[in-house]
Amino acid sequence: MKAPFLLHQLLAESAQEVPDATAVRSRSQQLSYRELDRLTDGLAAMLQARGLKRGDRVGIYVPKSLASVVSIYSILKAGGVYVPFDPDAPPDRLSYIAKDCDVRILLTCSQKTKRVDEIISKDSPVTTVVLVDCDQDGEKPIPWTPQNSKVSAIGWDKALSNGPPSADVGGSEADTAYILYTSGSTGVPKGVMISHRNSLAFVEWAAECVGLKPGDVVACHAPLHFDISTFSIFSACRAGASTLMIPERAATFPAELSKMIEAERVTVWYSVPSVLTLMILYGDLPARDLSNLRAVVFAGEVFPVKFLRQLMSVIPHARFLNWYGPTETNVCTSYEVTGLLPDSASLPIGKASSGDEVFALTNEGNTMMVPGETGELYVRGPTVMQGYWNDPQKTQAVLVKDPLNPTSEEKVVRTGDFVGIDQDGNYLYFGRKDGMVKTRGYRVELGEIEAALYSHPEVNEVAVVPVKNELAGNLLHAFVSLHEGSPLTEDKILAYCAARLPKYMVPDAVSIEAALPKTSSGKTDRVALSARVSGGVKG
Amino acid sequence: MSGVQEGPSMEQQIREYINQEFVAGQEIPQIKDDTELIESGILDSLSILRLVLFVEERYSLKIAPGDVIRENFETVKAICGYVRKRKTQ
Repeated sequence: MKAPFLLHQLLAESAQEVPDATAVRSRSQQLSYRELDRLTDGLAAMLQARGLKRGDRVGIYVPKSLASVVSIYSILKAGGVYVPFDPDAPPDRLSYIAKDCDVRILLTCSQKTKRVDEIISKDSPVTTVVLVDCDQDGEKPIPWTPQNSKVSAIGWDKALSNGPPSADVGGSEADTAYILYTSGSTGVPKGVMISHRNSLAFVEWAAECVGLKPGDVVACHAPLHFDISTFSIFSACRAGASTLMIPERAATFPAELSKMIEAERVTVWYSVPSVLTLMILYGDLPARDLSNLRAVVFAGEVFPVKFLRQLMSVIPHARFLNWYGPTETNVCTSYEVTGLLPDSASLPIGKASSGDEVFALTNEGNTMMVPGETGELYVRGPTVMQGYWNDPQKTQAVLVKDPLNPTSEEKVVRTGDFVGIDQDGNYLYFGRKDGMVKTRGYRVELGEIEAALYSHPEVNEVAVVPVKNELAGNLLHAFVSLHEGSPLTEDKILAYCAARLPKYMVPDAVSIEAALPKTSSGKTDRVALSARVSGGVKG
Repeated sequence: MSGVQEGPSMEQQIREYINQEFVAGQEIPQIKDDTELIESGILDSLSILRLVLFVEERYSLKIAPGDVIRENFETVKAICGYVRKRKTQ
């Protein structure tokens, strides 16, 4: 067997080896590997006919469904780079992303067309919108003509009537496979560029680590713009296993989610810990038959040990893995939880994974070796991103010369995460060195929220502080002072944020103050503000 | 059941809570008693939980995890129906 060097070669192989196995399932619909392969051949050919060239960026704006996976493979097969749009983000932010990486073709579906009109209005680079309505079994699509007359729309029926893509568009493992936009501290999101090689290094390691095989049902809970999703899509495909796409709204109720795990016989779960915490508290887990669930993986934030212990006691037969890594490297360390930890312990993030090397440097610039020291974590290896799209300055700040090997051309990622190390050589996560916080598993730059608030003409001062919360990791509380006589209210401020930021970045609470407290050096006193809300966000 | 209504109705109280806590931050009109709360994205898993805690405290009842399901929480009407059913049990 040839070793794959492009992500979509994984699909070609599984379509050969297990053609009739279910590749992807969503609600009650499914596609076998053979069907998925053929469908995406057709759509890829159509994208090429519409002028898609190797390396072009294509947006995906669909709710979690079969269409998500169909869109991904079609774009990759045509030689394109997929750019997932957060289905819950405000149109302004999505138009920014479309412009930033010059998205000319957008894949969406009929139910999103109202929003698409807002995204592609005015000076949008988008010229073609393709409706990937493969989930609407038998339902007639609603006729739609884009309001922007420069944009042409292609219905699903037309998209289907194409042959396979032109024999070989070429492709190298160094080609960008996808761009994931994450929160940026200066007020605009930044696009993390991940190559086929970057992604495959993780995908193959992860499939081996969990021991994925045909017959496994891998739940895809995370949205596509979150790199957690690449495991359930690509690692499952590599193993000939099935991906279960969990629609956004089906994940609202922990009890529904746990019912789905039981009914769909999910064998492998990978999500942020807060989802698992909610299932422990409100998922009615003891009433479920979870005997099929054999591996539970979590990443993206710290899992409080007391909840993990409860989970382990309800699913004693499963393996539990704690993965760590910023979007810039995907997973770069892994820790398997084997024994019961005391509630007071913190969970290690473990040792290097995915073929990467990780190391930490102390303040003095020495390699951190022993327990008791603190250092900043660096990552070198195949999962290290290509850079931020169209932003050499930010790229240079994060992709740096290897401090252990300064004459090397190879760049390493400086994570900005502080870590320690335990007796067994496992890394321990301590926190951030900057204004990045995690909420609901998402990374958020407080500076980006503050920049959004500052853009309001009546806002004078702003400070957003994280409030520790057992379920969400952190909630966000914004303190704002206004220009004299401003009639702005807390509700209006929240609505202003909601029009500019994705939902997870909109503050959970706002307080309007006469003025923000200052430290002796004249800076906003964030410590004082944090202390004021340490009892929790109201409500 | 007492049948005596004083102050705002349960519908009003819950509607106000949701409008104040969850709608204010979104660019959508204020909700009505039959506004769909889940598919519309007004409530997510974390806000449902805060709503559960609010209802538990406000109406002095304990909501079992198995009751935190769509049919009991998809509209203000459904929530009130659930609370009334529990109160009469």
